[in-house]
Amino acid sequence: MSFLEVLYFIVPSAIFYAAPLILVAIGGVFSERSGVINIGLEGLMVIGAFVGILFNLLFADTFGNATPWLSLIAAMVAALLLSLVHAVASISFRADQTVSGVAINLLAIALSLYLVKKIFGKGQTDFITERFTRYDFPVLSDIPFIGPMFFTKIYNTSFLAIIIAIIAWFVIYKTPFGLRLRSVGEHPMAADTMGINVNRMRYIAVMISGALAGIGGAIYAQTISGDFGHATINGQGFMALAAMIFGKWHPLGAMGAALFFGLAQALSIASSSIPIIQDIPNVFLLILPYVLTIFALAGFIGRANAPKANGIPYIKGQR
Amino acid sequence: MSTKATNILVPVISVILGLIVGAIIMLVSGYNPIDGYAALWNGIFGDLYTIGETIRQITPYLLAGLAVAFAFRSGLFNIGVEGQLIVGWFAAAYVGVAVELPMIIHLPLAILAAAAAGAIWGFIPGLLKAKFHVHEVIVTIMMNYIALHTTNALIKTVSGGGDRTESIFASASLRSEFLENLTEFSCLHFGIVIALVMVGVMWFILEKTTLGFELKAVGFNHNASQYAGMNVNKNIILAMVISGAFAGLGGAMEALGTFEYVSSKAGFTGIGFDGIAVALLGMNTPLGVIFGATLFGSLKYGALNMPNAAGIPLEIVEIVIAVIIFFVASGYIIRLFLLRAAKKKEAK
Amino acid sequence: MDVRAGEIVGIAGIDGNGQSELIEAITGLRKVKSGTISLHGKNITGLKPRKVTEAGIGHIPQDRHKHGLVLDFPIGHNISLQTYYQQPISKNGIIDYNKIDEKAKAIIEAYDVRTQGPHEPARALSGGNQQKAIIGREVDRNPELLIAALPTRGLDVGAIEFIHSRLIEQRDNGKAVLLISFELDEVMNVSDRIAVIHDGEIVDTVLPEETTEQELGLLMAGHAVRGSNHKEDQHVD
Repeated sequence: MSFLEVLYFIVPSAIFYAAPLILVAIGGVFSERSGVINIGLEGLMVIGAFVGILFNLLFADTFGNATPWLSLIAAMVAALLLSLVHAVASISFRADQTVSGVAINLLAIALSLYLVKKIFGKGQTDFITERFTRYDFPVLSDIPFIGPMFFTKIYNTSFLAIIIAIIAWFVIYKTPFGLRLRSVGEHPMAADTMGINVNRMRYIAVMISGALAGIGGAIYAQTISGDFGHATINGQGFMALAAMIFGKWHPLGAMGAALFFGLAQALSIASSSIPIIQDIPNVFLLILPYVLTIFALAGFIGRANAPKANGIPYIKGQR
Repeated sequence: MSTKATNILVPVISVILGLIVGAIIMLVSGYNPIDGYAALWNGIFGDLYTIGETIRQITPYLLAGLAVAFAFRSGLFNIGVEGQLIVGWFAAAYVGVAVELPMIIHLPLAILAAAAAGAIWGFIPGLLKAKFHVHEVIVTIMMNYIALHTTNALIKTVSGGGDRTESIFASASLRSEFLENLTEFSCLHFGIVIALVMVGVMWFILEKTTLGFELKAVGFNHNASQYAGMNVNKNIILAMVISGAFAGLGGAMEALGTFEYVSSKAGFTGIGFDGIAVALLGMNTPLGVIFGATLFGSLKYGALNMPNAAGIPLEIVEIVIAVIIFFVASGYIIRLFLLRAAKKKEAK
Repeated sequence: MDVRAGEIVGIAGIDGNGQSELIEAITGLRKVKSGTISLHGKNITGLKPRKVTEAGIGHIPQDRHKHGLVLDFPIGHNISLQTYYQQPISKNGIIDYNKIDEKAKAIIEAYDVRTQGPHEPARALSGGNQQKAIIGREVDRNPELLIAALPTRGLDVGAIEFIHSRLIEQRDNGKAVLLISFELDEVMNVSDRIAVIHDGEIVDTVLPEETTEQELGLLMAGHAVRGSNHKEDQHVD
C-alpha cells in the first residue's frame, strides 16, 4: 500500500471509530462540568447499545430505512432514564459519585443481558438488518486528497457526532446556560447565592450525559458491532472517559482526543496491512489511549484540571 | 439509635432492598421469584459440593474486598483492583509454568510473584498521586485496561501464540485433596486459608502497627498528618502497594487454585469491581469484608444454579448486587429514614 | 529575630503579612528560600516536620481543624499524633493503644478537656476543648520553643484565660514561646517582647511597656517609627 492509500483507508476508519467516543465523551463533559463525576458512561453506553439494537430488530419491518435513526432516539431515552438513577443517588442521596457510577455500570450490563436472555433465549441478540450505511458525499468526495479522506464511504452519524461537539462547545462556552453549568461545577456555593438552582443544573447535566451516551452506544452497536452481547461495548465508555480527560473537559478537546483514540483503534485493527506499523506489536496500539491519558493527567502533556467541585455533593448551608 | 447500630443496619437494609428489587424484576418479567430464590439458595447450600464451590468462589472476593477496603481506609479509591488481580493471576501462573521446583519453594514463590505484580500495578497510581496529585480513580481505571491488553499479549508470547498457558506444575498448586474429599470433590483449595490469614494481616496492620496509625491518619487528613511529621507521600504509595498486593493475591487464588492456568480474556473478570461492593458492604473493616465476600461470593456462585433449576437468567443476581451497591452508597438516605423512624417511636 | 529561653515573644501583624509563612518555615512545612533557623545553636533549617518536632519545637497551629487535629480520629489518638511511634507507645512498629489511652486520660485530666473520654471523636468536642487538647499535647512534650499561632481564636473568655496562663507557665519554666496573634491586646498582655511583621519582614522589635497600641498599629501598617533593625536569622538560646 502506498502512503496515500494508507491515509485514505485509515482516516475514514479513525473517524468511524471515533464517532461514538465523541458523543459519549461530550456527555461526560456536561456531567463533570456541572460537578458530577460520571464513571457510569460505560453503563449508559451499554444500555444505549442494547436498546438501539432491540428497537432496530423489533421495528425494522415497520420503519425500514429510518429504523437506525429512530433506534438512536429510543436508546437516548433509555440511557437518559438510567442516568436519572445516577443523578438521584449522587445528587439527592449524596452517594459517593464514583461508587454510584460503578453500580450503574454493573446494573446496565446485568439488566441488558438479563433482558437479552429473556427475549432471545441466548447470550446475544440477532444481527440487525437495517444498519447505518456508508455513502460518498456528493461533490465534496470528488475534491482531490480531502475528498477521499473525509467524504468518501462515510457515515452520517460521524457528521452528527462532530456537529454535536460544536453545538456542545457553543452551549457550554457561549450561552448563559453554559455559564451556569460551569459555575455549579466550579463553585456551587457562589452559584447558589447568585440564584442558580445547583441541584437542578446538575440533574439536567447528568441527563444530557445520559442522552448523549445512549446515542453513542446505539451508534456503536449499529455501525460497528451489528448485534448486542456481553462484550459489545467492552470499555468504550471508559475510553470516552479517557478522551474527556485527555481533552481537558472541553467539548472540542474531547472531540480531538476521541478522534485520536479512534485512530489508535483503527490502527490496531488494520496494523497488519500497513508498513512500519505492522512491526509494532499490536498491544502497544491497544494500550496507547490509556497510557496517553495517564501522561496527560500527570502533566506531561499540559496540565489537565478537573472542575473544582467535581465529585462533591452540594449541601446547602455547608461550607 | 446509636451510630454503631445504624452502621450495621444500613448494609443489612440494603441487602434486603436489593433482594426485593430482584424479586420485583423477576415478577415483572414473568418468573416466579420464590422459585428463583429457592434455586439460588440450593445453588449455595444445596449439598457439600456446592458449599465447597461457594467457599472457593468467596476466596478471591475476600482478597479483592480487602484490597479495596485497605485503600479506602487510607483515603484512596482503588478501582484498579481488577487490573492488579489480572496481573497477579498472570504472574502466579507464569511462575507456576516456567519452572519446576520443590513445592516448599515453588508455591510461595508463585504466590509472592502474584503479590509483587499486583503491588507494582498499585505502585504506579500511588506514585502519580503522591508526586503529581493525579486522582487515583482515573489512573487505576486506565491501568485496568493496560493490564488486560498487556497480559493477553504476554499469554500469547508465553504460550507460543495460543490463548492459554499450560497448566501449572503440581508443585505450585494450591489444590488440597483433603478439602476436596471433605466437599464431595469440589474445587475447594487451600487459598481460603491464605485469604483468611490476609484478613488477619489487614486487621493487624491497621489496628496494631504504627504504620496503620499513619495510614488511617493520612486517609482522614493530609494536612494534619503532615503537620504531625508523617510522610504523606510515602503513606499514599505504601497504601496502594499493599492494596495492590492483596489484589494480586486474589489473582493467585485463580491461577494456583481454581484454574491452574491463565487464559487470555475478552473482558474483565468482574472480581475486582465486585471487590468495591464487598468493601462497601463491609464498611471497610476486615471483619466486614468477610461478611461482604461471603454474601457476594455466595450470590455469584449460587446464581449459576438459577438457569437450570428455575430457568431464570443468572444476571438477575448481578442486578441485585448493583442495587445493593446503590443503597449502601446512598446510606445517607437510609440513615435519615432510620433517624425519622426512631424519632417517631420516641414521640409515641 | 530571636526568641530567648524564658520569654514570650509576640508577633504582631495584620493577617497576610507572612506570619503563616514564618511558622511553616520554622516547623518544616514550607521550604526555606534563604536565611537560617537555629535552635540552641543547632541549625534546623530545612528539616522535615518530624525532625523539627524531635529537636524540641511545639506548635499550636492556627487552623486546628486543618492542621491541628484529625477530626475523625478519637481525641485520644490526636493527643499522641506526634508521639505514636515513640516508646512507650510503640515498640518495633507495634503500637499499644492502651498506652495511648493512658496518656490521653492524663492530658484530658490535666488540661481540663471536657470530653466523654479518649475514644470520643475529636470532631464531637467543642472548639475550646479541642484547643485545650492540642495545647496539652504540645506542652506535654515540654518543647524548648513553643509556637502558638492564634491560640485563642474563636474561644470563650474562660478558655482564653486558661490558654494564656499555660503559655506564661511555660515561659516561667524557662522555655521559649513564640506567640502569633491578630489581637493586639493579647500580644500586649502576654508578650515580654513584641516583633512587628509587615510585608514578610520583621520591621521592628518593641517592649510592650514602652509602646502603645497606636504605635504598634502604625508599625503593622508599614510606617517606620524608629529605625528598623530586622535580622534574617532567628535562633533560640
